[in-house]
Amino acid sequence: MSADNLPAIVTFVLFVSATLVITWWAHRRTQTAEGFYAADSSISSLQNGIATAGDYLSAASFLGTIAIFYTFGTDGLLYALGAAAGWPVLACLLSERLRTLGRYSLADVLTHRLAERPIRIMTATATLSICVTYLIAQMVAAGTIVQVLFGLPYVPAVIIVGSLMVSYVLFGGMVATTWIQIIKASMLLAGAAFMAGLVLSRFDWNFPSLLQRAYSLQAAGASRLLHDPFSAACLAIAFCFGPAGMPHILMRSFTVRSSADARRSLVYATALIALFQLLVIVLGTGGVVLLKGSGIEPVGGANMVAVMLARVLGGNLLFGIIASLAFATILAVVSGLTLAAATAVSHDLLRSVLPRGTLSESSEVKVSKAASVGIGMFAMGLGVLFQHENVGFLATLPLVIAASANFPVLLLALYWRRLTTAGALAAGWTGLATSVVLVVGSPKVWVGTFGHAQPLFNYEYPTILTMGSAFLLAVIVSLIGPRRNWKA
Amino acid sequence: MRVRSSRVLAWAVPTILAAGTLTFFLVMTKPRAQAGTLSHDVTATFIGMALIALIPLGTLVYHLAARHSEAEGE
Repeated sequence: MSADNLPAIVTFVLFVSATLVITWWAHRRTQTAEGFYAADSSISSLQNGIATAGDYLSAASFLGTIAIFYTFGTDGLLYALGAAAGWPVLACLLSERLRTLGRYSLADVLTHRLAERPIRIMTATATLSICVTYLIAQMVAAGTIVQVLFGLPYVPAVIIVGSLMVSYVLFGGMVATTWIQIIKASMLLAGAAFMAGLVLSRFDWNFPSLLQRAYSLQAAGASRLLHDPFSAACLAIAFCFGPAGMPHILMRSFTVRSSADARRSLVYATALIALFQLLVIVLGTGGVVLLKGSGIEPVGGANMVAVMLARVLGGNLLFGIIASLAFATILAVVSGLTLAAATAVSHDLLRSVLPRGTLSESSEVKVSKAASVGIGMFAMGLGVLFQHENVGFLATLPLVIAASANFPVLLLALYWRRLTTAGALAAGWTGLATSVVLVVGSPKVWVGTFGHAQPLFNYEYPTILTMGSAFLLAVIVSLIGPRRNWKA
Repeated sequence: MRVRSSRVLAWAVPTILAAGTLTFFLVMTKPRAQAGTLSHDVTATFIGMALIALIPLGTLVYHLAARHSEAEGE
């Protein structure tokens, strides 16, 4: 560690200290299962809106999109627009009904009218798949940042992040996770706005001039992120419908008092996420001009363009603050994911296996805490295993799985009276299995990671096929399958 | 039969914005030879930013309509 990194270390230590104090305070408040899973539904709509935005503004949103602008030019626009595109579905179609029907998890919403045991097993499996895939992306990003920031080796960095995220969930539950997200989202938005202001001031506040200089630096015929309309449509659909299937985002609807609060909080979240993406476009194009245009190579690869841009704009002080902010972002997101995964294990999976009434609420919370430790250790192991993978690509995979496995079942359960348990199970399992298999068989994973000569599936994102087949099966099985033994 | 405006907007807002996003993705995936001059890239950026700005505005319009319906006790 060098003296250059001192501001980063100080900022990071301050953030971690503040979050640990919040966790201790939350631990004293969290006495019941409702407190642990849903913060006693006591969060205001503004607080929940900021926390929801914090849950979604991950390292991929910040580091990944800016890196794509740096490498692929205008393709960064796809990620900036995509990150905001999914929120109207959540705010307009799902938020109120989720709050009315749900208690702690997605399965609570679905089991209002569908058979409890098979639905809980299915949604818990999908939740674990989505959360673990997302955790890998965050762990890899955290390890890379710490290597650049503190000079620590990758594995200890992953262990530090993993231990902190488990502590937040273990002791503070949803209350601590919410407040950590509020602090992080506020800091991230302020940091991005400050940097965007510095970038624009270097171009006399002439944004079109910045764009022209940035795109003129992109070589003509430069490689593109997406090469065909099918992949583009699949990625767009994953962005539009993926957030509506992300368990840690859906859980946030249960932390407010009423359905109107849930809707209002998503209006705040949508506004903050859209604002952030507009700032990211300024930062992405600024990164191209101020780094590529000056011949500065980002240490640690394209994913570090955002933090290297901070060094160019504000020296080591801003570099340290932004780098530790990026690390704090990851820390906050992984704690939300761990809580969602632990809830799936204790509230959904275990309830389905054990006979009804054998698990008290306090025992369920204990199981959830134990599960968060197990999930944390599992995520640390996978973070080490996948350390050389591309963070931006890894972070879009859970969106594909969420859009295919959770979203069709949730939308149909809330809006289509004829959906049966068999239809929901057919949709959920098909969406989950096809999305996981086709993602693993894609060129980036099957060829890039596993080293095979040819991919099993020629496209990176299979969302049209996987989500489409889930919807189709849900309708066919519900209409022609047997209806007995099911609720509603 | 009277249909609540918020109920229509609940479907219309996400559908229109998702269609806009999908169209933008498809246009942006054209090969550079077809799509890519400097002025095209700058214009595309402004269109993308306008779409991003429309997303919270559309959501807000739905929220106001839903609040209006609640106030009328519908």
